[in-house]
Amino acid sequence: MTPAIEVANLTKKYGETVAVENLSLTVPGGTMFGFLGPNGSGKSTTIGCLTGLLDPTAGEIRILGEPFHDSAVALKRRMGVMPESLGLFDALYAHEFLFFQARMFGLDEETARRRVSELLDAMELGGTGKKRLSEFSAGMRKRVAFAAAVIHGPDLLFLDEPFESIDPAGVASIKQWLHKITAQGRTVFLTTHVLETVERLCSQVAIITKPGKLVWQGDISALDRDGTISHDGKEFRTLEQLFLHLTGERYAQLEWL
Amino acid sequence: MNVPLILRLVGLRYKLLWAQTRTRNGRIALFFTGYAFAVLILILMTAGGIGAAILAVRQGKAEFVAQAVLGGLFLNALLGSVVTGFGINTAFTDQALRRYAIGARDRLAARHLTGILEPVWIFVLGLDLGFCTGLYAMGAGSFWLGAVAVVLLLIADYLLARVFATLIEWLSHVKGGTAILFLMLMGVCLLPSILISRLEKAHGAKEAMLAMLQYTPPFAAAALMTNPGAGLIHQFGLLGAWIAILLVALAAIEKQAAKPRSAAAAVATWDNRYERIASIFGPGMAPLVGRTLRYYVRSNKVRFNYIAAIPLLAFLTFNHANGQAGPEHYFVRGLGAFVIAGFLGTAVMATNQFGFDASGFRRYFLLPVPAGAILRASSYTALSMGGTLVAAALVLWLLFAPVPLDARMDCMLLACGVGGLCLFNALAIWTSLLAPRPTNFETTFGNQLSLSANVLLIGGVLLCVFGTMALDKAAGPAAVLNYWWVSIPAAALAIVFYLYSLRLGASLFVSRRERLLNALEGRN
Repeated sequence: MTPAIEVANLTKKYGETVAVENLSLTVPGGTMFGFLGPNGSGKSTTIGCLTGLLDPTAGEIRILGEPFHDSAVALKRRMGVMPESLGLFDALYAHEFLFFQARMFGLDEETARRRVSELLDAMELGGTGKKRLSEFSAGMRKRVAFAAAVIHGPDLLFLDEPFESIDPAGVASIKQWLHKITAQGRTVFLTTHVLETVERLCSQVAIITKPGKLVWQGDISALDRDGTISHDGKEFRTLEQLFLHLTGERYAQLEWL
Repeated sequence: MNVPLILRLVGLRYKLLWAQTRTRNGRIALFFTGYAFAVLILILMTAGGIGAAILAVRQGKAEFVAQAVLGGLFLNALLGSVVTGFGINTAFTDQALRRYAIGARDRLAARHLTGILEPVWIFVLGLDLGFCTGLYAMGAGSFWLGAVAVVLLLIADYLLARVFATLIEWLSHVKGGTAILFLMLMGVCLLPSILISRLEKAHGAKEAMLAMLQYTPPFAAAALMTNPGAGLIHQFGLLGAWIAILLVALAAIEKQAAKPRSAAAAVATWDNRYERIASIFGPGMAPLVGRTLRYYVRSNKVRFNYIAAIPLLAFLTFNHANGQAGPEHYFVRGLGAFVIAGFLGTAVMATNQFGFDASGFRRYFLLPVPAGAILRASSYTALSMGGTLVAAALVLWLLFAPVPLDARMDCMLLACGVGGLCLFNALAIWTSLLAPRPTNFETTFGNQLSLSANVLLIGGVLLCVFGTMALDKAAGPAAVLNYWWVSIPAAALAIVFYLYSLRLGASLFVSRRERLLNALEGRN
């Protein structure tokens, strides 16, 4: 299967500040891919470059087998993105926003309406009628953003912190849908700080550290199979242990607390 | 009362104002504001304040001139703050202040202290005190009594502005409120000319009016300033009563405005009006234009300005208090009004096209359309909405203007309308791209525009109004009408400039998108 994402030597600089440095990454098609890193390590910047929000300073990006730069508009039609800031139009009602999103991604009016209704019901947002998105709770806003990302049935789905603020039932539903999406050969690229979720959901993981440097990429199914992952001659029983080892993150002690 | 914390909040407000100067636009704004402030203070305090006082005392009409000066400043500050939004920004909402360990009374005090210490009110206080100093220097009043009167007058002015602003904000949210607002605006625009004509005709009306005005805050302050011995308690009591009444009124309106709005409808209703209207721009643009149209129609700021535009234009054209009256003069002033007609209603959003999108701005670049289409959709919406105002103004002119029908006049007015529409919207593209600002969609009041947008809007309106007045005086209506054909190439030039701006702006929109993202998401 064609890799869903191929990144070669991606670099993104803001003036003198390097946000992503020489990142090379391959995401196999049809997988649930976890993209992990500490705060400020460049995850969202990388997603920004992969989705066309930001211009890379250097490097090459191929999405679904095609160079992103050359066919961005056509490729965007096959991508669904749930950005970290959600990117909602707050003055609209949920159904208006989803309808707009569906129409922009080329769905005809009838299909768009049907999918909007189905998604609102599935997301338990059906009763929000004339409530603007600005009045929604954090969890409801996240559900709307997720619905907007999947409404056109994308081949590649980018999810930046998709489960934060959503209640357990909502998370369970989304996880179920994500499994269904990958089972159909489509790809999910997600970032989250909840490593247990990544352990359960993802088969492939990449870990980056500041400034956007890839420190590990691999298959984490060994955790399920053997109960450990080996790296640098060491055994790690959880993804969290591996993550802390690779990123050098530590617990800070506050004496007064 | 937790005075130290309240004062720290006032300090924080000024720190936030200062923080805005960290951006390039902020530094430019600070420079111009500081410069304008210093120059105006100097001119007005000497010429307008002390100068007026000297003149008043010499003529033996100190109280009369004090009434006129204080009344004028009072009204100008009131109208200026309500119309432009300066000085009534809510720095801290009651909800935001709840995070601090202060009670309801302290929150109220903190809100209004930060409000009244906004630079614009300090500016008004400076002018009032300049006048007070002038009177004192000429031996026509007590400085300290005058200073206290001026401070009380300022408090009354600030409270009245807040009462109006909160009332209009509340009305713009309730059902039928728009109609009430429209009637209020018509009243404000038409009342002065009706009153003046009545006063001129009715015997004794002027005296009755003056007697009534004695009970207003500026007249009470003027009496305290120039005639401190007589009725001291009465005048202080009057100012105190005004402040108390306005405080009670403000509290009542704020309480009403804070009530939750009607519950959300249970079922989503599909309304495709906007997309259907937008489909005139083609199927590819329809969803984008439709979305932007919804934003324009739902914005309280735009709605208020849109309904205010025609009454305001009528006022600017037919109010002859400062100009020559007569059909042909109305026509010349109408030219200026038509230039701004297409822009007045939409300017707050058109000059900052992406400022209202918040995080939604990010989504534009995730959509499978060339980024230039986003800018075009946004500008087309402003242009269409402005265009309907030009059309409405022209129809109303043809039906009701007390001017004989003349094809040259109508052609000039139309050309001015179309030209102004294109010119201002072209400039609005540049302010949107080069000086964007994150803006609160929900508010009706508070000037949240960038310096460039303010210059364009306020400068544009003043230039058109005073420019046509000057033209009327210098050349006269007949000469203007002789050159009627000039308006056609001028309009064509404005159209070309708009199309050019749209084209160049589209590529700038793409190349500057990261800067725009940073600016609109609050990062420098």
